[in-house]
Amino acid sequence: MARKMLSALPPWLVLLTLTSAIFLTHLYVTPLKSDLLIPESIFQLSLDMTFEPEDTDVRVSTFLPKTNHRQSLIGETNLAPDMEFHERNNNLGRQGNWAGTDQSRSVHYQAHITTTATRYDIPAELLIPTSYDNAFAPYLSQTDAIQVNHPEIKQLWNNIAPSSNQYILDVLSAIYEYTTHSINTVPFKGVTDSLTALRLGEASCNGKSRLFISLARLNNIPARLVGGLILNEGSKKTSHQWVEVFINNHWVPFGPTNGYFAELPAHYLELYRGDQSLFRHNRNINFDYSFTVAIDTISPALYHQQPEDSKNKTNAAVLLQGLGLTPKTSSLFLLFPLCTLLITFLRNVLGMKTFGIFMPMLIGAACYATGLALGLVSFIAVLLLAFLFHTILDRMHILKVARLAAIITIITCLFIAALYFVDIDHHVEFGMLTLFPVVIISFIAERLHQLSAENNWNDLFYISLGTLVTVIGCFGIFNSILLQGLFSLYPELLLLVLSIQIYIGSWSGIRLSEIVRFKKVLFKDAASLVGINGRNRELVYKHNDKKLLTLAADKLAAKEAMQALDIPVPDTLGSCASHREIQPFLEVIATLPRFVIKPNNGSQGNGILVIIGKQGDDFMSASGKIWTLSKLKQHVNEILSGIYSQDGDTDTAYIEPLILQHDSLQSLAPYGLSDIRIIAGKGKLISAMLRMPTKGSSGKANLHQGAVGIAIDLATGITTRSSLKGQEITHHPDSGAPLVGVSIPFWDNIKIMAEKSYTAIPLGYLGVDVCLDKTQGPLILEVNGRPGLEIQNVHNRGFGNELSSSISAS
Amino acid sequence: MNYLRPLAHLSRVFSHTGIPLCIVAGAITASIYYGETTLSNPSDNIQHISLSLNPSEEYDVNEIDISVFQMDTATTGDTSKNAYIGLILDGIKRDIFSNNPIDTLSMLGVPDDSLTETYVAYYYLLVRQKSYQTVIDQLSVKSVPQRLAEGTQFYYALSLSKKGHQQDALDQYNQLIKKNTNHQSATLNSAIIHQKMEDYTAAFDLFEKAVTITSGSRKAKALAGAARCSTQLGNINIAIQYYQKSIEYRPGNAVTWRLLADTMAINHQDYRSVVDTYDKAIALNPNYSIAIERKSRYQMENADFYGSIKTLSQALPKSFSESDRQQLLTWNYIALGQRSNALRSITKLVDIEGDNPKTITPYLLSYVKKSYKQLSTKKWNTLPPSILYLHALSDIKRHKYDAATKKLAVIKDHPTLSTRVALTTAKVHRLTKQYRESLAIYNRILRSHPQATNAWYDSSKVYSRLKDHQQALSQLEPALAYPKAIKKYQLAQADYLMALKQHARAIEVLESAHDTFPRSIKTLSRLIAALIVIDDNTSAEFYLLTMAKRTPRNLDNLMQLANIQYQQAHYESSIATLNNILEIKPNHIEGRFLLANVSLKQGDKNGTLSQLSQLLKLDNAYQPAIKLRNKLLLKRSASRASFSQLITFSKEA
Repeated sequence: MARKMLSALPPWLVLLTLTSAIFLTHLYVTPLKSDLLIPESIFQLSLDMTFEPEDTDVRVSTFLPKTNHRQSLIGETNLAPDMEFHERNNNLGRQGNWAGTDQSRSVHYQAHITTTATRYDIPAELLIPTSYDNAFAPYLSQTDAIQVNHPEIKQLWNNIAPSSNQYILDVLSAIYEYTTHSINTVPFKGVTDSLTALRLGEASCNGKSRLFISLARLNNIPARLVGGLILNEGSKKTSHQWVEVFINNHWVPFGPTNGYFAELPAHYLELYRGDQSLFRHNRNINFDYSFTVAIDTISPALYHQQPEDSKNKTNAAVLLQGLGLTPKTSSLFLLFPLCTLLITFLRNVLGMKTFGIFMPMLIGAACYATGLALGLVSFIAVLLLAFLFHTILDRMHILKVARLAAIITIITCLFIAALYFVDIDHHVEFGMLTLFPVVIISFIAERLHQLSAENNWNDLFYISLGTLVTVIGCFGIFNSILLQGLFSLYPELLLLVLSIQIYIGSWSGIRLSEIVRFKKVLFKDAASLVGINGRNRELVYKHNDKKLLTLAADKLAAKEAMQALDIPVPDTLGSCASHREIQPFLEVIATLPRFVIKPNNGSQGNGILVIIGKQGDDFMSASGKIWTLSKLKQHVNEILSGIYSQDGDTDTAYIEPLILQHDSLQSLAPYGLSDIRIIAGKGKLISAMLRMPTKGSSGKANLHQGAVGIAIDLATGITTRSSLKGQEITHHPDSGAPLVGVSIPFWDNIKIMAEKSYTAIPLGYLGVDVCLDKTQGPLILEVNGRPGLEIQNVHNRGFGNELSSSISAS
Repeated sequence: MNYLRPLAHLSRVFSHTGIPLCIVAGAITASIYYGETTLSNPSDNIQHISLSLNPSEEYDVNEIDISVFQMDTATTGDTSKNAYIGLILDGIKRDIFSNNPIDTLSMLGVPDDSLTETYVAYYYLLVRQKSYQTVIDQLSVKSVPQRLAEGTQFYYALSLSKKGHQQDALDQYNQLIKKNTNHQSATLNSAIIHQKMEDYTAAFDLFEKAVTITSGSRKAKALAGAARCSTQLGNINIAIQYYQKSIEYRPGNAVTWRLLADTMAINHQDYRSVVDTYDKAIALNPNYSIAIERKSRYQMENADFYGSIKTLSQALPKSFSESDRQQLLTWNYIALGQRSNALRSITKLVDIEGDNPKTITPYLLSYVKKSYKQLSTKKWNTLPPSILYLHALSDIKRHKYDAATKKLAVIKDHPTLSTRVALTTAKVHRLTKQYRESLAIYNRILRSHPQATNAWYDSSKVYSRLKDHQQALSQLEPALAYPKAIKKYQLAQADYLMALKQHARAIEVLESAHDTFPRSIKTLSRLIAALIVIDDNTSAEFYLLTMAKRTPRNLDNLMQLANIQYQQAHYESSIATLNNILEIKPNHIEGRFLLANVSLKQGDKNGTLSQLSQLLKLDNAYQPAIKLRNKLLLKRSASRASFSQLITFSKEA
């Protein structure tokens, strides 16, 4: 019973329940730490040191960031070719020392750091201690640059001392007030001792800080210099110094230069303590340096987490980083499924079309590495370049695979060439940038080229727009700190994603884009309307066997199957399956006055060449263009290469005789070949329409390209309604002939042929295309395993109910 | 229920399409977006730490883990930190080093792996001890490649330059630079040598190069060197920029500040900036005599005489040559017309220098002592400019304005005298009543020298002469803005205000001046006069009393006081004052007359008559006294006659 109940439940619901159970259990065991979801600023600090030693060894040292109570070193890299590096840690700081030869030229150091702002509350009643341990002596004594006992310093203190100078807060406030407001800040680069700062009345950070320290020490308050960097985005060479004062077992920071009293903001990075030089190097090496700072926002769940910590055993990002992935790559990996869900939703629910199904996700990932603007610009640039080269190579008649390969190569070369000219100051994750889906974009460019060649600008616009929206959506997901955190901390949410994907995959409803397409039918009879989801899931997947679909797509094989049941089809005058067979194939063509060349696996009329006559040795197509034999050969080559093939694989070209349209239809639509599409469900005829080419459809009987659709009454074979691009019409736009009330000749035969087609190729949901030859009468052009749904618009009613009942009846 | 049909229809449409899913998806997206934006302020995360009070707490040093403060010096191979310095010094002292010091060092026990380093340290020490010839003698026998390989090339070059062989030194430095283009010291020293050889272009190029390869104080030196060269090459603006940059790297160097100020002065930069720059140099080194002297001269040459005097007064006693100080002070006081101060300073100067005719001192003395004839000569064309100026000043004192004008014309473009000459010329015009010409010169000077406070004052006097007291007042404003109150400026202001009938304001000014200069009689007098004008006799009396205490024997003041007291009906006070006057001068006619009047006011007619008769004995023609006496007598006779009549009447009655 339970098993029955379970099996009756939809899979997505089962998964959803399971996910909920796991999530709640996880939440119970490891309560949610909201601070791990709050974004954190991370500073990327790069230090580039260059030197030209000429004839001497190189010795360089500097202070490197280290972790303490307010800053955390997350990761660092050190690139110093041909140099030895060692580190020394003491209470002054963490000193990195590089030693190299006269060939050494540079050191590139990079670190990722997070910091916290700190603020101290100093009680007003706190007295200045009268004595300290000997260890504090250095922080109370005079030095060459901190002239504590100089008469001028003492005189200054006499002038600015508060009325009661026994309280730390009062004394420090007076010192701070003076050094901050009475000593002007000027951009001195050299060392300024406290006396010079006092005498000049101006100083940079180090002078003001030294003066502050002199006054503090004069009042028996231990104080020291701290050096580091202000982490503002951009490049700089200026370091910074501020003060720390020992109060009640804490070293409390003061910044007289920028106005920080007992506090330090988050963008201050401490590198060393004491009156030190930030850089030390041996002489005569033309030493230079530069800091570059970039600020990013990260999810704390991806960083700071130690795998050994038991709480992090379920942190997926930590586990992935244990394999060597960077935090960024880990987050991408975890969020790919959510992006695929977004794409699924956009395609299956909204009906959005894109270039490639999951390609926008990869572009979005690349944009995450490069930044959205740069990423999109790069994407468009690469796309346009690929399109351009597609066009050029197409004119050179380069075959498909080679053409794609050439485009990828060209774009790679251009990218490398660009690096010579573009001065890239900041380090982008080039792993992503160089692999910026060049390959995939090249494929997209081919599709773009195809659409533009067909002048299908409308489709081109919507697909481009859909791609852009999807890319931005995926970028938004990858860039979301909240989602990064959630999926890292609770990877079971991927099961939730899976359950939603399954749900959407099981959903057969009408897409949002189809609401517009089928709006008249929808509002007339929503229940009977079949959309693409419904067609694919309820009809094609359920009732069309894959092998039969393959058979239907193979036109030659389908023709054979129908010929076996004496179903009239156009003759096959010749076929060519490989390049070896081209010559004999052309020899056949040369003897024919008129014919049609078709790709075996083509669709929507693509690749069909209609030759209506000869001019000497050359051939004239239906569009009036002259085709030489060599051009025909090229066309055949293209068919063989698979350009027109539905699956992209190599194909077979074959020739059929030119069908001369029956007079009854010729009088209505003199351009191109009209055909009759009949929809059958399990052999039972459901709906039929006549498709008539127009000038606007370039002679093709394709409704999306501008052919007229005319509804045929199944019982009588008489046309009942006609429409052109969704608009009801009564007369043909070119011939002006009335289209309603026309009796289709050979109608009963046509119906029988359609029914027999089901016998030949028993697809549960079948579309049969029939044409009327002048002399031979009705001929089946092809059968279709995924016939379109536009017939519903032509009839202005859905056929879902009829299909369901015919399929269920059989 | 037809109205429900559309709803039912819509709900069917709704349920068949993706709209419900879109709504759900939209809600989820909105939630994520809201969560994202709500949590997206990372900077609010501040760690608050409260330092709680715990007076009895002891400092746990271990917890803080404080270690040695001084950084241990890295073993960078720096010569000065060579371990065998002591050994070398001892060897040098004992003169045991032969021409082959390496052998000697080896013999002294320096290990092989330190031999090269120590060998270089030996020459370093020789140079430190200025044994340049020894260095030259020992190293000249070696070839350039040898010296370069050993590391002694630099010391060889340095020693050559110290012994005056500049070109040789340059050649050796060049060899060093060829081997290592980034050699800071060699580049710097080469630049300095070029500078000494006055090849400023080459020096400048080398200094510029040194700037690119040095840092810290060396960079500052290179920048300063480049600046000096620029000055020599006439690129003053560039020189200023370099000095400023040098200061950035070495802000505590007073010399650089002073050089910058000098250069700014040459370039006629803003006066205030130049003075501030000199001030910084002096602040860094209060004993910096050159800076003090240059500043005070600059101020004087730019007509900021009070500023120059202040600079000289504030200079520390031993920071400045006393003779220079007194001379400058004399000049300043002369410019201000403060003769007594000038006399004081020139006396001191004479005490220091004597009356040396080769100096300007005797000429200054003559001028200050008003011995103008000694500053008169027909051969004045050949006189040095400063002396010629004194001659011109003395001509002015003797009202020989034409002669003065001729002499001033000769030196009007002199770089250090031009401003003073112009001011003096303006003064001449003023004295000769050529007020417009005078004002033209004053205003021209003041446009470029707004700090010339005395020129503002002098020009205001010209406007006053022209009866344009409003303009005079405006002209005086900048002078009044001088930080230190100057008495004559305030008195002038009061005068102009009085002329403009702004009596109340004038009195305010005079009272303020009196507060500032309580001992100034002139101020008090002016104040009293002003008070009298507005009939504020009470205040006038007060100040007259003050004046009387200051100048107890000044009869005019006392008389004025007595008059005021009389007018105020303070008869007793008036009598006291008058008696005081009469004690000083018994035959003071007006005093006696006033005394008589006072007696009359007190109703003492007999006393009055007595006073009058005494007065008339002193001056029997004093009409006011005569009139009063007659009047009184007439009254007396009239009353007697009346009384007689009354008695007669009563008798008759």
